[in-house]
Amino acid sequence: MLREYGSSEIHLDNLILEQGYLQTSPEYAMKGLIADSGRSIYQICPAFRGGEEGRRHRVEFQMLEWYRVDYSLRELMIDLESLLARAHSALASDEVLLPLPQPLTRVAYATLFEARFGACPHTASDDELMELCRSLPLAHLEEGARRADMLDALFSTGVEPDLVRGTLVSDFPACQATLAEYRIDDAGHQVADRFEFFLGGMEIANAYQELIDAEELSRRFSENNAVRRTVGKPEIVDDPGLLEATTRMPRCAGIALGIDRLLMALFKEASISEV
Amino acid sequence: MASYSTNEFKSGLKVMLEGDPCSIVENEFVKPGKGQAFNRVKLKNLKTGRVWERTFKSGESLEGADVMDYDMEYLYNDGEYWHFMKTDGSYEQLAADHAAVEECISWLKETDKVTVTLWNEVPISVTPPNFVELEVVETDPGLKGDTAQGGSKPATLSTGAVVKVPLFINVGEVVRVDTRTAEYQNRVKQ
Repeated sequence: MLREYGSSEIHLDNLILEQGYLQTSPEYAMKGLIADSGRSIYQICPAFRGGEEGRRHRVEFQMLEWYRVDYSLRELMIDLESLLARAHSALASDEVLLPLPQPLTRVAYATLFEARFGACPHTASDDELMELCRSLPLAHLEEGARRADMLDALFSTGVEPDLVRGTLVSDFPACQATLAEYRIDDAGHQVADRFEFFLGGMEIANAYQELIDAEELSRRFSENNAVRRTVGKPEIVDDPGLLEATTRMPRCAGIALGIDRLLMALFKEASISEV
Repeated sequence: MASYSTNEFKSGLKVMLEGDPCSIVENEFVKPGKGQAFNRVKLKNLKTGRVWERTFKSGESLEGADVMDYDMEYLYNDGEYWHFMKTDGSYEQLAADHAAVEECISWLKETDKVTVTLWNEVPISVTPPNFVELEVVETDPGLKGDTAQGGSKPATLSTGAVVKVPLFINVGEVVRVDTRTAEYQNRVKQ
C-alpha cells in the first residue's frame, strides 16, 4: 500500500506520508508482479485518493483489481459478468438486490454520447464541446478547458445517471486512454481500448487493454506532468519500476472494481457511507 | 462575511450567487474515476424562491450571505407595507414590501405566526405556517348531505386564495389548507 512513487494522473491527489505515497490504486505494484511472473493475478486492497468525499466517494475505499494475461477486453467482460453473477446470488439470500441483467448491456461510448448530445465525442471540435457544456450549464469549466475534462463533465452529468441497469461502456475517447492501448473502432476512429461497468447510475469498474509500450507510457506521464505544472499541482516523478515492468509485461487486460460502490448499488443505498 | 468552499456546502447554508442570497438545497461531489472533480449544487434563490442548479469547481468558494430567519406574527397591511412583530418577547416590528410577501400573500392572515427571512436586516421573504385556517367567502352552494368522496369545486377564501374544496362546504365555513400544496385538508368546526 505504501509506494515510493505516486500517481501522476492530473486529477488524482496523492496522500503522502513521511515514508512515501499511499497507493491511489494497486496497479503499479501489480504490473511489476505480472512482468516478473507472466501470470494472471488479483488483489483486494484499500486505495486512497485525497479530497474525494461525497455520496459516492470515500478517501479510503476497497478495490478489487485483477489482470488476465492474454485476454482481450471482450473476454474480460465475460469474466466480470460471471464474477458479478456469483456475487449477486451469494448476496441475494439476505436481501432484495438490484437485479443484474445477464448478459450485461454492451454499448460504445460514442453511441451513448451521440444519443444524448447529438455530437460525436471523437470528432467534435473543442469549441463544439464547450458549447455543449455551456448549454447544460456546466459553469465550472472555463474557456480553454481540456478536452478530456469537458467530455468527462458531459458524460458524468448527461449520460451516467441513466445507466442504472448494468451496462458495459467501451471504446472511450482517445484523450482518455490513460494506461490503455489505442485501437481503431468500426467507424475508423482512434479510441481508447477500455471499458467501464456502470450500475445504479455510477461507475463501478474500469478496465484497460493494458498499455505495454513503455515509450508511449513515458510520453503520457510527461504530458500529465506538463498539465500538472500549468495548473499548479506538484509534478510526480515517473516510477522507473513501472516503466521497466511495462517493457517486460505480456499482453493483458486489467480491471479495477470498487467494492463499496458495487455493494451500494446492489443494496440500493443512497450513500457509500451506508456500506 | 466569511466565504465557504464547496466542501463546506451543506443544505441550509446561506451564500451569495450573482448578487442574490441563496440557500443551498443539495450538494453532490462528482468525480469520474481519473477525471476532474466538480460539485453539482442546487440552490434556492431566497428572493425569488426559484431553485437553480449549478456546477462549481471543487474547492471554489462563495461568499456567505447575511440571512436570518425570525419567528414573527403578522399584524396588518397598511396598503403599502405588511407589518410583522417578533414573537421572542421583544415586540420588535418590521415592515416588508410587496416583493417580500408576494409568494405567500394569499395565505397571510392577521395574528398568524410566520417566518420572516431578513437579508442584511431587510425582509426578503415570508414563509407562512404549513397549515392555515381560513374562512370561505365565495363558493357555489353546498349540496346537503353530500359528504361522499369525489366531487370538488373552487372556493375563494378570506385572503383571496382559491382552493378546491368538497361539494358540502358552504360560505362562512372555515377550512384548513396546506400552504405548501394549496390543498384543502378538512373543515374546521367553529
